[in-house]
Amino acid sequence: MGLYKAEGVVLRTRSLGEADKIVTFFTHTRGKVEAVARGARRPRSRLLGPTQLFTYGRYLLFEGKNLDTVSQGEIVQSFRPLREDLDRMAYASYAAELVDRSTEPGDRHEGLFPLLVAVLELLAASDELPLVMRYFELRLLGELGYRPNLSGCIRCGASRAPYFSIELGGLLCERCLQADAAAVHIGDEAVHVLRYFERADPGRLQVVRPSREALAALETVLPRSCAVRIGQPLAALEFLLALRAAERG
Amino acid sequence: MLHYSRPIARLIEELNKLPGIGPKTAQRLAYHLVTGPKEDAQSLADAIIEARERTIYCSVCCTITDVDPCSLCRDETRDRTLLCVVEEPKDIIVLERTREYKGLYHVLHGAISPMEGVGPQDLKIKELLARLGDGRVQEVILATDPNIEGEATAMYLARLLKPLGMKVTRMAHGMPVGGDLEYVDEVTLTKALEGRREL
Repeated sequence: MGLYKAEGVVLRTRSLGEADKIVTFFTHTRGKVEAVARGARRPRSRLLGPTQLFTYGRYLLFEGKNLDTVSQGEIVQSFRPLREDLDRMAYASYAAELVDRSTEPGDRHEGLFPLLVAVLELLAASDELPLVMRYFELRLLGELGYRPNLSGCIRCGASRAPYFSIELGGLLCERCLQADAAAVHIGDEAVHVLRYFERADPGRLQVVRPSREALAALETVLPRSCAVRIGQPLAALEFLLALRAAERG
Repeated sequence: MLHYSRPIARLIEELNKLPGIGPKTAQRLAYHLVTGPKEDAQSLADAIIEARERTIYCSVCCTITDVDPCSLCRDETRDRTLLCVVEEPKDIIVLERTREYKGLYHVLHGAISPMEGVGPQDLKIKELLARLGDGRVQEVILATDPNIEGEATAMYLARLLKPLGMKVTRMAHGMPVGGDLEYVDEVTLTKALEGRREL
């Protein structure tokens, strides 16, 4: 019990009582932390800014029995564009929900924090939002210990394996297709993109320009891979799809 | 709940369902109602039933009212070219308190929240579009909350309404009156700088 400092990103906020908030942070050193921010819904509260969704800040927290309490907060990066553009906001919500649903309080996941911050930065600046999201999904699976095996066919090791099996967590070649009847044909280009994602830093993401077909193929397998590991449908993903459907017609 | 008599246990259970009321508060309220004057309890029960039975959504602005259309929508002195969109009926009360705004209102009953699964279809947006069809409204003021959900809702509505040739405005963001510059976050401060005015 006591005070501790943490750098974190606000993943989720819920109203509590008259003017308080329960804030879910993803922190660098402690993983997911849930904390009460007292008075944080009052317009003059000092915690108002630092507890807004997606904010990356430095916080002083006080350990409690169930929930911690936010004592102070300072914004490092507010990711303002994420709040000012509906599409960016929808993607960032999906990223935040993925992290929130796939982690438990107390699990540290040290690599996940820099990944999350880098991806929020990209979502705030990039024009290739679906590409950034697919990158995040693949890397998140890796951080959680579900990294798909991309070196070749997971059955026979053949290097050309254009099928992706969500259930088996890796690629399959034509001959080993019977291992998973639900395997999806994603094509050679999508496989190359996945392999690039696996080793590229977030900053190198603008170098790849996959075709529309390859991106669409990845969209059929990566969101579902995440949903299967998390075990429940994600509300923000459904919102994202509804938003896109509304735009089309 | 074994130690309570059955009627009290039921009362506590019902009170416990209210927002912000935990088991201890529910217990205190229940005993207060049971031990206080009988008329008070009766009057509270009647008020709850009356409020529940006699209120409906206004067919025009979707606020909660006992007459349809509501008194604000009926009022012929209001400016019918201005329409202010708010999240909740209680926001109308706050705006009316300023005595500055003389136009009409529309209540959405919520805000878009991707993570809570609240989408545009869950809000009174269809009703809003239907109202705007007659062309009398010239300007729509988006007065949703200045948080992520409110901003998302405002952006979504702007995207819908702009193509209809409507003037769409958003409430200003800025420093709170009586506040402290030191504690104003950078987002608010940037907005306040953008919206500065000559004295």
